[in-house]
Amino acid sequence: MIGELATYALILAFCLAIVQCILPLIGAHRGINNLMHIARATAIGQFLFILFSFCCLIYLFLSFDFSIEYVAINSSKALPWYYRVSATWASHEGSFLLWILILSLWAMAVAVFSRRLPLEFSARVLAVMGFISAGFLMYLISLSNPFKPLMNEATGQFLMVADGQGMNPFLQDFGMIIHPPLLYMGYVGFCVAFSFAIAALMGGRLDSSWARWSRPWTTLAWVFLTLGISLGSWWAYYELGWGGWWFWDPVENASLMPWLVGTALIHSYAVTDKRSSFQTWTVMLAIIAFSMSLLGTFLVRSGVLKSVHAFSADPARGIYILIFFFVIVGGSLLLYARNAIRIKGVGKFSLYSKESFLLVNNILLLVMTVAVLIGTLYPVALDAIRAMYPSSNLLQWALDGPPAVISVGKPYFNFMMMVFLLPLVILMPLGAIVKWKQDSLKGTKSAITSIAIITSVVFIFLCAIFLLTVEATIKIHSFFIIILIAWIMAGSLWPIIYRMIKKGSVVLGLKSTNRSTYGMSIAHFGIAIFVIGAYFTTYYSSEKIVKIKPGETLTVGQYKFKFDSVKWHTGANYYAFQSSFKVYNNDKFIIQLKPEKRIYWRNKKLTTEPGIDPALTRDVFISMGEPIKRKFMSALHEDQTRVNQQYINSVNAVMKNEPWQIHFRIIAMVRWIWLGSLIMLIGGLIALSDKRYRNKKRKSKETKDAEVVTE
Amino acid sequence: MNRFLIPFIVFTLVAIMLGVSLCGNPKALKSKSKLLNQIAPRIYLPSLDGKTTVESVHFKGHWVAINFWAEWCVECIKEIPHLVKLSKQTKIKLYGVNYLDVKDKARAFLVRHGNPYIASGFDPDGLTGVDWGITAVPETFLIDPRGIIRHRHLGPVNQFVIKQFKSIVNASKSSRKSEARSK
Repeated sequence: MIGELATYALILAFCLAIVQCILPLIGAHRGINNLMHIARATAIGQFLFILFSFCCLIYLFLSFDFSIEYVAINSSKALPWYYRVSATWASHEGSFLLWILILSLWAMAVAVFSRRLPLEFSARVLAVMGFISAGFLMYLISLSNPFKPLMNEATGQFLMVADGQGMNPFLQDFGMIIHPPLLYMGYVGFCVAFSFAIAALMGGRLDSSWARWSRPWTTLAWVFLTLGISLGSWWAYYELGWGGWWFWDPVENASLMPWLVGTALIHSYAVTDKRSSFQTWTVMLAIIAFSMSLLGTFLVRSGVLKSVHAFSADPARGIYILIFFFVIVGGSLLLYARNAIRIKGVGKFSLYSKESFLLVNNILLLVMTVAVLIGTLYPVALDAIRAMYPSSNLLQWALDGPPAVISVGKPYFNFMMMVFLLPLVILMPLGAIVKWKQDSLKGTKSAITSIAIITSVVFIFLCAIFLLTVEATIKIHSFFIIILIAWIMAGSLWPIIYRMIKKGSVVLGLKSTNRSTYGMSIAHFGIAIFVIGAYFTTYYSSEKIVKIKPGETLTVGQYKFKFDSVKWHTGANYYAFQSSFKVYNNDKFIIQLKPEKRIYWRNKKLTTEPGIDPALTRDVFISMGEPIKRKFMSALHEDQTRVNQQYINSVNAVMKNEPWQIHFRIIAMVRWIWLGSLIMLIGGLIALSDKRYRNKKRKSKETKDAEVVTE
Repeated sequence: MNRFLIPFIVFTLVAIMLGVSLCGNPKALKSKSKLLNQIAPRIYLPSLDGKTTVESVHFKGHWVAINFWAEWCVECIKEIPHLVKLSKQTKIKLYGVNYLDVKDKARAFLVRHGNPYIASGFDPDGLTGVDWGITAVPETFLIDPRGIIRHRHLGPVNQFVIKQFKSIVNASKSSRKSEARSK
């Protein structure tokens, strides 16, 4: 019953989306105000219907309604209520519903906050969003309905099961509850920038006002995406028990690509907004940013990456998403080709100007995106070539030639990122100080010297800290990295320091700096923090893998570990071996860590829960391998009905003196990676709160009111 | 030509490629592999723990599965439980080849996720991988007692692949029996 209601709500939302897509466009074309006004109402209505069906799905999970296939596959009775809520977006169908819900949320936000925009323009924006929404709603209703009842496909009979299959244990975690919604907020948020760009292309109005309107939206989406990606990285770090923070997994790459393009877009907006230049380029970036989001959705959701790699995955779904992806992106690129040719940039600039630096920034970020894209698509591409030319000698080199040349995987990605990230961050401070339009080396000489002086001060300061605190053997390249970090820090703080010097006082300087500048400085400073984290984690972490018995101790650097015991542990919906370690730093007791090896009841999946002691300078990270006698792991597989106190006691007695393989790691400064991204997104938020955007709102409202009066 | 059309053309090419690989049947690909039903390329590698070697000589007379894996490969983690099942449930001997990795990290991987292999060869520069036509990991080859590659599986091993391996082994056993009978 509830399932049917929810499906019905989705169908209504689909109808509204169709209306939202067609009527306002006709209105904008013919100049009919009434039709254009429809867009706003339908956007809000659509959101309410989708929200209703989303709440229905949550309710179905909470009430254990296993007559719904999606609920039966993704939850079980043993699952705590908060995981049952997050199970709503744990798998394909539900996460697509969440995707669409967030899309309609953005559309509603645009509808509510775009009253200051010209009616014609906002009608077009909402129509574009309505089109995208309609396409995905149709997909959801026809091919991946989360409310599909559980039934026997052959006989058409409805089925009822006593208990569901249970949730993937990796997803049973707090990080996983909030990570997908935030990531989607970012992904889908670029849809707003895209719709603004398409609306501007349709109307032929690619002036600076368009860029100014869509700037805050894009920054907001970027902030969400940054938060989502860092949460995902943090989750992988502690939940998957690997102790790494980035794995170049296709799913991760799918979120990194829109982030890179989005970052380029934010910088390109500045040029279009302030200098009325780069219009066609900015429009292009807005289209690419959303295309990357869609491509990511396609790659992750269609199973194309798995079509090389697996049996399952429904090809109809993949083909639908691909065709729709092609219609949206191909259509907008054709529109771009038709209209962009007529646009001529007004702002001319010389080689040594802010524009040039921002262009270089854009190009480097795009090249990085392409590098990630190639690495991600390489297996797919090879597959496609093989399928098209099964016996071509010409292409034989590509198939059977030395494939190690472009190998997909960490080595390739790390190398590519290093090569392009270095010039990017080296040039970053320069881009911030050079003037718009035209500048001379002479004009920036004093600024560069000042930054150099600050850099050397910061460098000495950082070196002192580094030499005093580091225990490991010092590597020579560390000093180059510290110079680089000092350079980024000095460069990012300079705009604020400059104003202080100019005003002659710290307080006046701080006051006269506007929030955009603060935002930029803080975000750039965050990059310095991020670089510190990424570098030191890679080069100053130490680890040991040993065979160790309860009662024994082990030393890694200055840390001493005492292995106390391995004991049976009964969790909420799993059994585990829980070990206990006392950690000493230079013989001083710090903490007791309890890593686990878990087996979940329902699907018998094995997971490793590391024991982590987090700190600013290092993480102590212990994860359990296997008992040396592997057969002991089978104790955890015992059926629930046969586990009693006696059984547990006997297992504990056996495990008392069994040696285990244990992985000890001291991971240097890994927290700085997430701290850096946090600072970056705070920078984004501060830039977002700049007076410019709010004042413009008020001003345009006033002018609009004035217009109404004169009418 | 309108230079603004270039992005559209590039995008169309990418989309066609995605479409082709989406519609392509992964099973059909394998039959095109040059290695199939040929004598397996030679392997002579030091093992990861440094104690033994993994070499083709050891394989003779047994059904052997060679699994190419790497520490940086996320799919490889997912297949470990299935590999454990493969070595437990069947008589197939499972050897690994660690592909393009750093020794310590690869060892740490096996500690973290479990070690299903009898032994893992260490192939840091990927040269053995080149011989076997590896482009991405994981890949698994099934080799019969005479050293001939009978099946190549791209991607992580799952329960279906195990079934397939079993049926290949059984089919060849029964065919050999019938051969013997006819003689």
